[in-house]
Amino acid sequence: MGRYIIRRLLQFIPTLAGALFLLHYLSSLAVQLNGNPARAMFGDRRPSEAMLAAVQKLYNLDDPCLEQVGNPCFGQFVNRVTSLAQGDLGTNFRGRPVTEIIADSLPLSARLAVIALVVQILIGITAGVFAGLRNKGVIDYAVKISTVVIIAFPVFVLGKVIQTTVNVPVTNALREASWAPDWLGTVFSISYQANSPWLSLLVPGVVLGALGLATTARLTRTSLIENLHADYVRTATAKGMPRRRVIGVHALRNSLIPVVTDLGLSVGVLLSGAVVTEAIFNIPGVGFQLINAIRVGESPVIVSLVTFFVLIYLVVNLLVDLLYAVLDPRIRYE
Amino acid sequence: MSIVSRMKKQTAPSTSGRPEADSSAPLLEVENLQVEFRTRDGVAKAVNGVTFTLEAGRTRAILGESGSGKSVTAQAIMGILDSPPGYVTGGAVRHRGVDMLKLNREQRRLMRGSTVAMIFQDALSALNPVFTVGFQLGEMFRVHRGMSRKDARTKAIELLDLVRIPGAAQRVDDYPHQFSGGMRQRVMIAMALALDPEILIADEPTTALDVTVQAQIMKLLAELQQERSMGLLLITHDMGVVADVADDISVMYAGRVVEQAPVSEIYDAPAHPYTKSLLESIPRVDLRGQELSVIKGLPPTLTAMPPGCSFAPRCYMAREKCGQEAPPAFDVAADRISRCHYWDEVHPA
Amino acid sequence: MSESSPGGGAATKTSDPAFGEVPKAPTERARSLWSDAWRDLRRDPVFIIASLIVLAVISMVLFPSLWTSGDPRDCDLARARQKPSWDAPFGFSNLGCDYYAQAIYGAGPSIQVAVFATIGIAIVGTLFGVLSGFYGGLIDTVISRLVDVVAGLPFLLGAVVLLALMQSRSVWAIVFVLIALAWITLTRVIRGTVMTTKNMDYVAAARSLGASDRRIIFRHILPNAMAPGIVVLTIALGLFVSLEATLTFLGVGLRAPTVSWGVMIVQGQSHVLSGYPHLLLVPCMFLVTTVLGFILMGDALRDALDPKLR
Repeated sequence: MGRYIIRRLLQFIPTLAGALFLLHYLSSLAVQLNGNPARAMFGDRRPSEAMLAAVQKLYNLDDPCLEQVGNPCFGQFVNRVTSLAQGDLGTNFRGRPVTEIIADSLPLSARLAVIALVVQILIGITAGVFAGLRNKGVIDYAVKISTVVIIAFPVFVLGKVIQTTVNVPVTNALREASWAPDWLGTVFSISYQANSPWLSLLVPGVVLGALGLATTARLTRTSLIENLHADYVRTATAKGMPRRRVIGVHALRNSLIPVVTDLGLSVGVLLSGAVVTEAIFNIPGVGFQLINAIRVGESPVIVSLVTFFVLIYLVVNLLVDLLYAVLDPRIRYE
Repeated sequence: MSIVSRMKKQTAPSTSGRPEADSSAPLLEVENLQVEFRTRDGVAKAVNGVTFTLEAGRTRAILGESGSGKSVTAQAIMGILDSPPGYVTGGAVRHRGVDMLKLNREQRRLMRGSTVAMIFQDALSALNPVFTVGFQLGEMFRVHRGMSRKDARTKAIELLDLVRIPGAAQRVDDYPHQFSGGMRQRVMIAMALALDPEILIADEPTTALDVTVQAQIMKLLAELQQERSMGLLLITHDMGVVADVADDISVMYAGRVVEQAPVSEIYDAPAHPYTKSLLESIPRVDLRGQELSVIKGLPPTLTAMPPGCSFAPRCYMAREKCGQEAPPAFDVAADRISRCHYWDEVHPA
Repeated sequence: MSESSPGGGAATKTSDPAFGEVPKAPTERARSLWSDAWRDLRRDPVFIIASLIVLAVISMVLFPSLWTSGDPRDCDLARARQKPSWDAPFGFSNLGCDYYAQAIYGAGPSIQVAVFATIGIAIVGTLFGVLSGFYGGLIDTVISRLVDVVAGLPFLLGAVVLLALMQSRSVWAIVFVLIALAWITLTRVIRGTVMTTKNMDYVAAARSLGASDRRIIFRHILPNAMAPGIVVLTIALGLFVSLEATLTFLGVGLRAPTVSWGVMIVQGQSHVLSGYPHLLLVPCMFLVTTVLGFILMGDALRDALDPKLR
């Protein structure tokens, strides 16, 4: 186990460095190809040369390497990683540190992610197990069809459609109904309400969870079907184990190994989805800040926020890899 | 925890409606067993009219090529056929006079492991990779006997000792993949013996092993069988293994028992051309330098069986009648049968 | 054991004087895989429905006038937000454009992005996958590391950053970004198949007969990688349609005056609360149905082409 952990940690470093460099290289390339993003912060106004120069200096956009297409700007990369290691992600155009923006908005995003993950795991695995046990049965087809349909919905469409067809009419109906408790209105409110930080995140969380739910359900199903035919499942039956135990302990335990791995990967989808969901439901989380930065063209903030997302993604995947070893002893003793 | 309480409930055997066992009846009696596989390509009669008995302390070998229905017979007796596609469509499997096929699901389950136990060919895939061998052995006692986790572990160590795994107390917490092939098969045997079954079915127990280890495992199996006077049903394709350990032999071909006899008689004087060909295809030192005989052709596809004798297309002495009329079971001697129209020509005596 | 057929063992093959036959094996196998798959697909209602959807969408892109005589750019503010009628089944947009005509013409940019991006990853992914899987060694290490690194960027976020910085909002910019981030999926699949196929007996036999690398790759390895590759690409088409719209929604994709489903959704969303939900729901329906068509088709192909499921 110890060796495995050490090996994974050692592999983590180049992956992290690689991802950060890729991000840096691609964003430098974009600047090199498109010219200076500093102008963007002035919007339609034409800044004076002096102002432009000052801003460029502030955001390190004055580096000559940004004018040579294809130059990887190693110097800038080193600076960026050094300041990142010191917990410095730069500031936005109004001088507010990005770390502060993240600290303010992260709790909301985290709460949203928790709701989404719970939805994805509970419903996804349950649906997958039922579909797998009744392979080719009614439930199986129902799960198969609904998962395909969910996958076909881009998150933002799903969010928008649910907002339009569920939240809007329900809110309108509740406005008339005096019997309805307040919390019901909060749950179906059209956008996030700061005074009820869990309830009003429920619908957005379900929308976000629906995204990964389909994959989880399908993977659980295939994996369970495969394992139900495994030799060791037959052995468990031959040992006189009750069917519930054969499935619940022997088959399921093995089936969940790939599902857990996939949950790690789905965190990437979840992070991207959070950006969209937060935009739709006006949730001032980290993704919402990213959308704002895109809207006003604060490219240094965009890069910083995405760097932060990438860090989270990679760390979560590292944790999932370690969890994998806990679940599968064959890996542990490699 | 809830798992514990659930297990307690299961240990109370539901004997209601279960027929009384008759201790004078044979230990295991299989009569006219029929198994079908319903597949996309049609219905395959995987087992067709298998009949034999097995007494305590005796060993019966079921011999046949892959696809002959020998493993399916074993699974049907054990009650672990995959259905779909496999279904038992007729016959009886009696333990001490009680037809196991007529028991309900729960009664049948309680017999598995405690009355009839089974050893599989490939222990690496037959053992669950994510649980320690101690867990998998102990599970037998926890589920069937309602023992505590701790007692079950002690029992597991005893079992590992019984099958002569060195350092049992340490190895009990190892995972299957940490054992060598031979040791893993010993774990498999320990698991089958856990609850002192009366009948042990071994499905190709040594096929996946090295030749040197094969002999050790067979020796261990034979010893344990004698000690506990179990009835052993040995499924194999290896004539060499059979000669050493079996008392009786059933030779299967394309779902049917084509010849059945005590082991000594069959080696000296086979009464079916298939058995004879099998015996001739074993390499022998005294015949070194001569060409080894092989059975030409392939077994028939079970969904498209030839009319008449199923072995006829490959038989060196096939005649017109063989292609038209399926041979019945001829009584060759008191406890010998052969499904060959011309058995007396094969049989020299 | 039961799979062994007469002379099926590798040993017998290499000693067989007539083993000029051997290199034919994969082609025959591939052919029967495809004809089996085709037999299954023709009878699969899911595949038929998916094909109809895909054909309909493709015809909207190539021949929009088959579907509508309206002009998506012929807008008249006087007709703004008129409700659906016989002449204009989806009514008129905020700017008074025929919404049905817009929805038909909106297929164009969405499908263009998806098709070009798919062609792109087909080329890049196959090339890298074959190089990596066939030659192994340093090339494999470099490509595999690169795949890991790109996989370290969550897809949508990577695309957002790139497009936000590129400031270009053209079809080509989006295609470029999608290819840059999505090639890894196909590369992984192709690499896996190539590595398995490379070690097959018939490839070894072909090699011992003196077949060149190029011949081995084109005759033996690529045909085997085709099936999983096509499944991945079909599903990718659907996902790209969906991604284009998402990027547009996030403000880094296409923009008006381009007419695409994504642009229509972005514009339609602001009229939901004022009583015109169909302005949002119509383009959503087109988008989702298209994505569904491609994904269902990919699923059906996977089921039909996966020999393990037979």
